[in-house]
Amino acid sequence: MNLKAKNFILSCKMPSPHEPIIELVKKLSASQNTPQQKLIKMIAMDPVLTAKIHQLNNTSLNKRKDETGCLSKAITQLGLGQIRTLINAQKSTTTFPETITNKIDTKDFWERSLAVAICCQTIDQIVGGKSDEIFYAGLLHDYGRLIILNNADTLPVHELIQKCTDKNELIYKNERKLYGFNHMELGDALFTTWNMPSVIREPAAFHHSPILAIRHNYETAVVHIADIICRSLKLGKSTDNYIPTLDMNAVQQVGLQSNQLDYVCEETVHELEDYMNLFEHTKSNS
Amino acid sequence: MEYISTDLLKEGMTVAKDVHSQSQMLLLPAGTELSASKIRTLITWGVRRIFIEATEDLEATQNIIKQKEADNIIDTMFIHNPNNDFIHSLKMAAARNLRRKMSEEL
Repeated sequence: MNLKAKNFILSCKMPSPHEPIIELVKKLSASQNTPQQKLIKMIAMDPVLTAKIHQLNNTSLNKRKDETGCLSKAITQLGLGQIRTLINAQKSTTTFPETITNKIDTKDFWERSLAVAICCQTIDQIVGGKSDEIFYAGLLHDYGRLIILNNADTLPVHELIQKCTDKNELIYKNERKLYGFNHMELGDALFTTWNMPSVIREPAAFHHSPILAIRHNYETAVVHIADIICRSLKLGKSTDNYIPTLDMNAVQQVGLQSNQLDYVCEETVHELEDYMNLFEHTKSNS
Repeated sequence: MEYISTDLLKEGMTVAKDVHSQSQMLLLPAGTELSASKIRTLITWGVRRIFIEATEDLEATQNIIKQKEADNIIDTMFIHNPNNDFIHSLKMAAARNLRRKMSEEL
């Protein structure tokens, strides 16, 4: 583990859930009439809230580490009472510092995370992978980047974006030079500290170098591909101007064919729209 | 070619890509002209969206869009990637989505 990343997470500002989501989830969880599946679907739209539930599930006292990355299982194990307590304790305080808000805001990040989760699920379905956790692996893969953006007032984030724009370089390849760690090492350090399941931790740690994954090569490869597809489709803004190099070994490992890409891309775009419509519909009816 | 919801399908539209069920059974091959019963079949099998051939109206709209500009943007985005079939297909999909976004903004 990168020690600078480990030390950074001890003192940095942690992100909070996306405000519109947490406000809605609070309303839904306060009502006894809300179906559990509806509540889970809304919670699963937010990476921070999803991560906090996994963290709570894996740090409960007298409990063996749980390797499930599936949110509904984690919620079942914790019980709705604990989930309500956790939800009510959340306040949305995350707004990215002004130095970067002309490039990206919290909504952009949230949309990108959700898009990657949906794309992962679509790829998994078309190749017959049947991974229960793939949606959550995609949703949480860029948690390290979220922490970096949330701390852009103490890290030279704007400087790095400018440098990479000027030199036509990829941001993730230059993070370590300026910060002492990259966003994958930061995600790895945090998820290791939180005792997160390896099916979530490995894609966060290796999504730009999927060959390094140890136990969850498949999920890591799917997240790698989905991240590149969503960047290509410009779903949610990114600070990067360029698409990272696609690892063709990951494509081969997953078994995704080039003639399946049209379907994956269109399904991701439209499914993301469906999620947004569902969110608006639920909000207006709650 | 457009990717549209089965709710919006109309008789006479032409299927642009093979349509499969979730169990990968071929429901309609590319080139099929849709009838009311074929549309009902798709809905019965739970198909939510399919590719259809663009109509003249849609093609006319697309002609307004700055296709060249969209292609150049996509080419620049991919400078760190090699040219291969997979990347080519991804660039085509990315360009199509960008053109759609540009036409929505017009």
